[in-house]
Amino acid sequence: MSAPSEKLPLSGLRVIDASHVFAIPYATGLLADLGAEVIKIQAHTRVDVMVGHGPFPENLPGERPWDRVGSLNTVNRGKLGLALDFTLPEGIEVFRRLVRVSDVLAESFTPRVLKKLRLDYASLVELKPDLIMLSNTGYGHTGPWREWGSVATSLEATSGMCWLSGYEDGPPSKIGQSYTDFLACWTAVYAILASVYRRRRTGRGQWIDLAMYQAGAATLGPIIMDYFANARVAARIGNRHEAMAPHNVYRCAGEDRWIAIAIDSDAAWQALRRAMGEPAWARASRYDGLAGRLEDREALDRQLCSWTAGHDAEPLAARLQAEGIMAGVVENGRDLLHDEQLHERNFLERVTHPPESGIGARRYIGRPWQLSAARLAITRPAPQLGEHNREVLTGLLGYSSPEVDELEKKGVIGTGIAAAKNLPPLALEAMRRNQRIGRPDPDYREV
Amino acid sequence: MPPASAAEGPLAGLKVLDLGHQIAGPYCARLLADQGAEVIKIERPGTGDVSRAMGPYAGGEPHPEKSLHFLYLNYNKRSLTLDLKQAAGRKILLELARGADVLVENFEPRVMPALGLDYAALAEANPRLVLTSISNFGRTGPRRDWRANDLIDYAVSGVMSISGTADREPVKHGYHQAGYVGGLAGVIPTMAALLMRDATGRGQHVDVAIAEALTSTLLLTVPYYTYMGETQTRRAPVGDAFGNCTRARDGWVVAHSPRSGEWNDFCDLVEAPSLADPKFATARGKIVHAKELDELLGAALARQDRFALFERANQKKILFGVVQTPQDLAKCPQLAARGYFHEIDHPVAGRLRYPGQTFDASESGFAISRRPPLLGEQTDEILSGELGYARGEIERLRAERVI
Repeated sequence: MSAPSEKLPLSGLRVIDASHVFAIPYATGLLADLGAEVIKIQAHTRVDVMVGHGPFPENLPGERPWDRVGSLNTVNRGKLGLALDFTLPEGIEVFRRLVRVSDVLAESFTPRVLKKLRLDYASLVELKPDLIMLSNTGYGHTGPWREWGSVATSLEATSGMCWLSGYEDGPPSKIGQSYTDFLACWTAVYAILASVYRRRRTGRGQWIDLAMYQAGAATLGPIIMDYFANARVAARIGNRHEAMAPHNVYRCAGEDRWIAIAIDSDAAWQALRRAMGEPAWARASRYDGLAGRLEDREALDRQLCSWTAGHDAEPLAARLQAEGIMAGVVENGRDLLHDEQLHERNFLERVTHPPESGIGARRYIGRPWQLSAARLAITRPAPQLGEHNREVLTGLLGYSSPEVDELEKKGVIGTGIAAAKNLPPLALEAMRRNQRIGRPDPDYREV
Repeated sequence: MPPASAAEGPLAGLKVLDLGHQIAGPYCARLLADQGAEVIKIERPGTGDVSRAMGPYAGGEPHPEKSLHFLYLNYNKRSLTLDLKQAAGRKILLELARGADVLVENFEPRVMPALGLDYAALAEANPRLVLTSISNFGRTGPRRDWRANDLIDYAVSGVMSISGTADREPVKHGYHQAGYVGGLAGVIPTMAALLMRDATGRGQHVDVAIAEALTSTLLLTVPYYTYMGETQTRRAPVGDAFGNCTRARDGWVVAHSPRSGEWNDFCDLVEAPSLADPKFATARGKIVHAKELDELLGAALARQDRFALFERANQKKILFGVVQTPQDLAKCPQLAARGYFHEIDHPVAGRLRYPGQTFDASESGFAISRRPPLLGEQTDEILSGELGYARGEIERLRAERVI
């Protein structure tokens, strides 16, 4: 935890996070790392859709599974937790009072939800004229698709990412984990920070209409323009590169170990030949230039694979890099936690949860940026559901203690979810049979 | 700084030097430009940004003013050529830095110090400057000087280990995603440093690691290990009926496993009475009968037109995705209705439609106020107008190939 005297970029900024799943919770978690005070409004009337997916510590959902989900505890770090049913009139009043004393509200409901509760921008800006509000939806608040539902997988497809991803000889593919969520997350943080910058100069807030779909398409700009300019529909290229060969991943010694190698010049090709000990196949003169290597890339890939198969990936990558060749190990989840580079940069930060949570100390994904004049860190573990109900209501919003008791009695605020008790653990052995996970590592608590 | 009017972008008045090349740096600077910052793009004399030599090109033939990568990543900027390997070039850069708020670069970490342009030198010229350095692995650590591109970043980040299928090699995301991710990640700490400057009066050095940004997307892979000691892998290509790309009659769609109680609605939607068997309705049943389900659903979807199905599903509030091709995106009614495409003229590339804003805002925001610049198009204007160089001096710099 950073010392209170230390100045962080967003010290003094108060943010309400009224969102679910990944994109906006992650965005507001990153704002918390930058020093904002973030209050997460969660429902205690229903379970976040991600809870059932875990992972849980030691695969034990426990009595309070909603507090024990690794992905949610990553994105909700650094926040105060307020469990509020804001479909009730008293809950709406708490929400409105919170907006009055906050700078930023970030939410991810479908457009009609907040409008119905009169918690949309038009209503809230009357309470807080310089409010910055960000609304994140799949397709945006305007246009013919505005009310259409979406999850990351449908957006990866709709935004064009699936068409372009996958093997060059295979079908379009879903890839990674909810990719458009992260594009939306970072876009949201940027939009909020730019709006804060503007508000400091003009005194005016604004409403941000973020469409995850659009944020996804933005990373495919030249490919969409290729259609406009040339009527060309780009195809999948897998790991290939239009102007480099070899350019692929190659199997190494061990189980599911791979090295990525990218040869970006004739000199790099010569260096690779030397590293391989000048085998006869590689000395063919047609490989001296890019055109010959591109034309024959499949044969090159096969030959290269038979060489890498005899090597361990890590030392081979280091050796090729020492020769100026672009190379890297295809790291898996376990590798990341043992990676020296990430360790030295403290990218996977250790966070200690309170004893009553039973989670202990775990490492979490930090931030892919560092500032020379501020030591950024995860400032506190993700809150347990409703952990800061009383603190927020009395300390910030001026409710008296008996009033808080009354709200609790009426179920306006809460600390548990009746519907989610006794969740089953993840079916790890079935997942192992279906090759979703590899071998377990009993030493994982050591990292 | 004068107060911005309501109609201006949030970053109106902010001065940015874009020393970036290829994708990450230029995209970072363009995102700032999109919100009103004044961006000067500094390019190498002669060849310019290497993205000018990246296909595809408008019209198909390679031409430095027709690269679609360059055009897309560099609208809203002015271009100045400058040879940073010459002392006179570095002097001009430091003069520009004196009047700038942000300098964005994405060289390998050793390059700027080798040019005598490390943070200390830039801060001496202008202590208020924010220097944003985007690199593959960051400016510290044992991999600092490793060479990498999109493929290597994806490999080392961990994302490839779960991408693709168990029977084949790991595969990365399509095309140049790492660069876009790096640029997008770059604007965040840049803005944070600018906000901090309001309080401290001082700039700072921002260090962005592209591979770490990709690792940041592994919200399940990392806690699978830290919470359970389990390592996620690439999935076997079975039980794919839901949550994956599946063939429709005229392309591909993504069907989502319906919520409990919606199974019959779903079967109606895909017009598959044979699926309306209660044994498929539960989550457990879908796993037990995965193979049969894959076959029946696959056959049902293969009879459907993808956009008609996508529309019908959404009107019935059933989650559905459609795999859009670049052509579909170009013709997408939703993007069109949101004014996402902007048609602009360019003296060499011609009239083209450009994808635009990554978000919309009620009071301010996006406009393409400048078409992408020709190489060095504003060199004279910037040197004489902003730095006060006389015509004779500019001609001398040109003769010496500094500009």
